[in-house]
This record gives sequence, C-alpha cells and structure tokens, in this order.
Amino acid sequence: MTVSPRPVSGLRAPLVVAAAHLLACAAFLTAFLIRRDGLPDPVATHFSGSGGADGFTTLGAFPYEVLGMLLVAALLCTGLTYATRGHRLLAGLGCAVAGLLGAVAVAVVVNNAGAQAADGVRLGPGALGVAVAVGAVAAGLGVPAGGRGHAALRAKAAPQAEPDDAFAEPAPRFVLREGESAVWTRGAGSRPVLVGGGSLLAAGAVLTPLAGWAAGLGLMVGGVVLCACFAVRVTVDRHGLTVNVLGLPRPRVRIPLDRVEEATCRDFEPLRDLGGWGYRAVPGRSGFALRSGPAVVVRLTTGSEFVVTVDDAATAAALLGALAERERERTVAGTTSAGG
Amino acid sequence: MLVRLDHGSPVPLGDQIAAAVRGAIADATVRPGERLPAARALADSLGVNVHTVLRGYQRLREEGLIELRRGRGAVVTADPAAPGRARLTDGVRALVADARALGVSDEELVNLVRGGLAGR
Repeated sequence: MTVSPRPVSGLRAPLVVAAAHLLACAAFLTAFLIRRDGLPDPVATHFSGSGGADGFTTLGAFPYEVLGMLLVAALLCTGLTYATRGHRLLAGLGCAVAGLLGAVAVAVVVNNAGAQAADGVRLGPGALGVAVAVGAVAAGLGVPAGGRGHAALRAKAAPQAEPDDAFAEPAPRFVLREGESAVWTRGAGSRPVLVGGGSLLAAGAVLTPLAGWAAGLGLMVGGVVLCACFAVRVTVDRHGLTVNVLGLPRPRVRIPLDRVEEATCRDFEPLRDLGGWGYRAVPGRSGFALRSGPAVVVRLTTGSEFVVTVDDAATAAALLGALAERERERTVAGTTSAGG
Repeated sequence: MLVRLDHGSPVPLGDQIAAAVRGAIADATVRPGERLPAARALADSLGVNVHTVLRGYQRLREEGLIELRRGRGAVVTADPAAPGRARLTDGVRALVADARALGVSDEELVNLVRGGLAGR
C-alpha cells in the first residue's frame, strides 16, 4: 500500500496561516506595549468612512478585544485551510487576513497614541491602503510557503489517483437471478449532529413566542437544515442510488443506474476526502459524508465520484454494481435487437 | 435491509417481503423502534403494487414484530426482544417448511411440538 506524503503537505499550509496570525498578534502586542503610556482612555476603536472615530473602548478592555478578534480570525482561517487540505487560495486568503488585521490593529494603536483625546483620532483611507498592501504581501509570502497544497488536493479529488484506490476493495459479486427484483435500504445519520439540530429547533421554538418569530426562525431553519443533512435514507433499487432526506420523498439526490460506472465500498474520512461533514462537493467528488467509516463510492460515467457513508455499504455497493450491470446488458441487448 | 423478490417463486410476494424484513429485524440491521421504509416507496423500488408490500407488513404486525400506525408508517416494535422474536418466528417457519418437505402432517408436527414443550 502506498504511503502518501499527504499529512505533511496537509499540515504545512494551516501552520503557515496560523504563524501569520500569530505574527499579527505579536505585532499588535509589541505596538501596544511600546505606546501604552501615550494611549487615551477610552481608545477609539471604530472609524467612519471619512476616517473619524465613532466607536470607543476602555483602555483596560482594548487589548483583550483586539486579541480576541485576531484569535477568532486565526482559528477561522487556520481551520478553513486545514479543512480544504491546504487549498492555495484559502492559504493565501488566510495570510492576507492576518496581514490586513495586524496592520489595522497596529495602525489603531499608533494613531490613538498620537492623539490628545480619542475624539480626535483618525484612521483614514491611507491607513487602510497600507493595511491592504500588507495583506497582499502576506498572501504573496504565504502561498509559496504553504507548499503544493492545491496539487495535493487535485490529486486527491481525481478519482484516478492511485493512493485512494489502494483502499478500495472490490465489492463482492452479487448475482441477480432472472426476473428478480431487489432493494437495499438503510437509514444513515449522525446522532450528535441530530441532537444538535434538534436542540436548535427546540431553542427556536422556545424563542419564537418569547422574542418574536424573527429571532426564532433563523434557529429553526438552521436546525432543519442540520437535521436534513444528517438524517438520510439510502436506497439502492431499480432506479439507482437514492439518498432521501428526513424520510421524505423529496428533496432527494438520485444517481440513475445508467450513470453508474462502478460501485465500491471504501473506508471514508469526511475531513480528508470531502473536506468536512454533511452534503458536500469538491472537484471530482460529491456526496453525503456523515461519519468516518465504510461508504458506498460510485464512480460515475462522467469520471467523478459520488459518496455516501452508510453501514453495510458493502452489500449496497454489490447490489448497485449488479443492478447497473444488468441495466447495461439490457441496453446493449435493446440496441442490438433494434439494429437487427 | 435487503429485500429480494423472486417473481417466479410459488411463495407469495408479500410473504417474501415479510421474510426479508423479519430477517433484517432478526440480525438487528433494523433496530427496535426504527422506522421501516414507507410501503409506497418500497413498492416503487421493487416494482410491485403497494398492497403487496402492505400485506407483508400486515403479516409482520400479526407476528408482533412491527407496529402500523396511520400517518407514522411502519415502525419496528420498541421491545428489545424484537430481534429474538423475529428469530423465533423464522425458526418456526423453517420447522414448518422442514416438516412439509418430509411429508410430516400438521397434526404430527403439532404433537411433536407439544412433546417438546412437555419435555421440559
């Protein structure tokens, strides 16, 4: 079995992004500690379009607020870069955000320190331009430092990539007798996410009478969407592979038999193989990733892959393969008899 | 849950469906309290009439393995013993089939079972 160097290239880009954000934090802290005595109290922290200050924070809370904001951005950018296995665009964007935020934070400190009172502090388009430039430079430095993350992603997404196929096991043969009809169906889901979705729904239901429907609706919609992505029924039958949501006839995702090239069962890792959980798509692959473990992997006639993680995936893949083969034989027989 | 229907078999289609679902309950592929696929959806998948599926479900209900409720569909009995009961019913069916194959009359078979029950 081939051991791919993916873990190294997969971690490198997120580490670069995290380092960029740490640098931004360090730059802000240095500026703050040096100019601390010159800062007014309260500090101007929000500026209108024309550059005048219109929002203020006490000096005591100021560093924590800025660091908190920087850390949230750091977590978001690093997480996104990691989840996309070091996508170049996101690695660059992450570094750019770090540069931009760091430059703005330093500019706020410097401009506050130069003013007598917070009212007089200005942060104009010039400072913003400098910040954008710093962000662009950070992105320019970050993308090459992040490595060939995108290449790794491409290789990963292409179904022809060798390392992945090493894990795919050919499904056991499923012999369909003449005139036999068969269906395989199974519920699939993720209990923690369903509990989360259910609690969102409940919170929305409680909030609606208390705080008006506008407050509750968002929560309830979120709960329904979460439940819908994680409570599915997978069916393999004469129509093909169907994934129904919430046990309802629709919405559904269906792969007709004539689009099935090959069906296999494979161990699946949502974060690694599809960039996260839920109903997702990456170049060359889409599907429902609800948990780690066995999944039905369908290679479509278009060359891309459709995946759904479900228990007893081996049986499902075997039946789907047999049904697709029978469909192909029928089509071939149909065309020859029509031609002759 | 895998359901295979042999349209050429003398066994009624509804019974074939019931046997497949019973097997799934017996080996815990479908767990107690879990909802079975809607009769309409299953009928569409198998290319049979919805009443055929409902006949199969009705049989399972008579065996106490599932509950049929209007609007809620078919749900496996929440009793944790459901898989065991399904296995037992399966065993009885196998016993009857064996007896028939051997030419043992129903009366004889019942007597045999009575004897077995009295033995303990």
